[in-house]
Amino acid sequence: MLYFLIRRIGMLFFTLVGISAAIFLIVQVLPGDAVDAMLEGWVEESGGAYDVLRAKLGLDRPLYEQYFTWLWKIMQGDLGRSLAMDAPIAPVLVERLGYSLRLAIPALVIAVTLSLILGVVAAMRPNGWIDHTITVVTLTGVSVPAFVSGSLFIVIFASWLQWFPSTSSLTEGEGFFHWAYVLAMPIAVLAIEALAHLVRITRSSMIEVLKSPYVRTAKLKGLPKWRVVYVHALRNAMLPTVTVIAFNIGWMLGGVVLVEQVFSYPGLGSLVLYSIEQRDIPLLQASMFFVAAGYCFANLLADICYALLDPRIRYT
Amino acid sequence: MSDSSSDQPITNEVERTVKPPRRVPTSLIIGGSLVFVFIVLALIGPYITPYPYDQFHFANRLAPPSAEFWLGTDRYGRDIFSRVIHGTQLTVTMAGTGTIIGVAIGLIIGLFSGFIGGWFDEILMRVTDIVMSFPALLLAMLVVAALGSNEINAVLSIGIVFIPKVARVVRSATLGLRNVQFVEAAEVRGESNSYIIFREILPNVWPPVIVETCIRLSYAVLLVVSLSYLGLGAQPPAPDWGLMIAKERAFLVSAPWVVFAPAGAIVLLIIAVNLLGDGMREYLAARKTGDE
Repeated sequence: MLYFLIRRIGMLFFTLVGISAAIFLIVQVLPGDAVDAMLEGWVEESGGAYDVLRAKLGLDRPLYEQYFTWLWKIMQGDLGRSLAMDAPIAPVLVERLGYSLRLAIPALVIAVTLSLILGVVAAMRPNGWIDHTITVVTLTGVSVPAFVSGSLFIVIFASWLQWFPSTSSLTEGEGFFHWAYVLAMPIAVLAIEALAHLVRITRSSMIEVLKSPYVRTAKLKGLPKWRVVYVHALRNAMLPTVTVIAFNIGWMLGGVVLVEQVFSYPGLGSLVLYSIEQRDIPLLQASMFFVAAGYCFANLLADICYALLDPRIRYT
Repeated sequence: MSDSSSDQPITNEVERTVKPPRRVPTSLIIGGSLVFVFIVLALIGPYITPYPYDQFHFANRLAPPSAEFWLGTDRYGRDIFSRVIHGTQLTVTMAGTGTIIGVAIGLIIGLFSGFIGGWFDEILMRVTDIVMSFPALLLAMLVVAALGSNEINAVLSIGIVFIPKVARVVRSATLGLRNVQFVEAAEVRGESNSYIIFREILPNVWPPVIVETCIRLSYAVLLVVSLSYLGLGAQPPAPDWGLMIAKERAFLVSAPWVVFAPAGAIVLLIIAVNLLGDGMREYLAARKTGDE
């Protein structure tokens, strides 16, 4: 296990370096650099300011040198300064991450819990009416992009029923219930999105496991049905679900961008979008790296969970 | 599959040809016909709409659905029904082209990577690892940010996001065929690598490629509408479904019909493609087991 961990973390390190190189290269394709964006086409009129600014930001140096300087600073925790906000990037990123996690974590917890329950219920009687209902609902669920369901939620719950506010602006210092009230809709949208994927996997793996000989043995031993299902079968049925959760975090990050946009919520996703709109290259690079790195860590965690859940797997 | 052993009687082959035709899954029929309807709409849509997609009717701004404007009008008084029908062409073409780019390049990379192997394979797989460690939508956003926001770049970004995923699927299918007898026979005959790849291996990797293409197509639709919703795809006044929902966001409360039609179209198209993919997988899986 220790060897597996070391190997896996070593791989993560190389992936992160690769990611940083990929982001750096893709952003280099951008027509014009940060200075062009700052001067907004007044390059000719600015006199010497163009060259001075380029030298100040280090843009006159060769590409590989710029990359390694950037990488070195990132490893020291220095993410640079945002041009559009004229402020250091790191504190902004951490603040926005906090906002995004307040959406993503409750959504993930709700989705995983519900998917285990619904998946098992559906798998107990495959092709029964409960199973068919769940299948149809989840098939619809995976087919609705987060911004569509979000917009429809606003129409139904904010406009018609007037249960929840249509934008999720936050004010600090409010209590937990206010947060829950404001964030209920975006969390629900994200949870439904993840839930639909997870239920399909839990259901099919549960059906497989329930057919296996050890489950039959457990039943024939005379164990109560709930114990067979929830203690014996579920542990094995959860294995594919764990993999899909990790995969889903990637989709959820995409979903977070959309949901934040729908509900005008100031999270990490809207920061990425803001940096694209403002052509704020340092902010774009840093926030993209942050998101991709977070996704890699989530995958690492999922792999570790997988190894812990399944004693048959020993990565040696 | 022609690898049946030689001691089997010939009659087996004859029996196989007279077997009753395989049952085509219902989901394949429904999904396929829906997708067909969308393709037809994409082709003839612009000729059958009651109004041009960009015609303003200032007297009827944000009008509710009526006999004159079947699905209502938006804030400039443009007929939503006409816009949604027009938009079919845009969404279907963008999703289709993005998928084709991704599948075509991924297919070639996967074939060569799996067949040639060695350091070539190693390097390509490490690169795909890195590309796949970005969440799909964010990678597409990054690519569009670098190239500029328009339809063509959105399509390219979808292709780029898909290449590593398709390459992985094709590579593993190719690896499975690497040591099959008919490939070895071709090598012994002294055929060139490209002959073996395109004439011996390619025909046998089509089934997983077709299933993967269907899966990719549904993700492509999702990515297209999501990118346009974020303002990173088609630009106004294009009648793009995602863009329509984004631009009319302010009127969700007062005139909700502005989003119903594009939302319905998006969901219906994705359901259609998902059904097509599920059905295709079921059909090809049944065919595979039927052959053995």
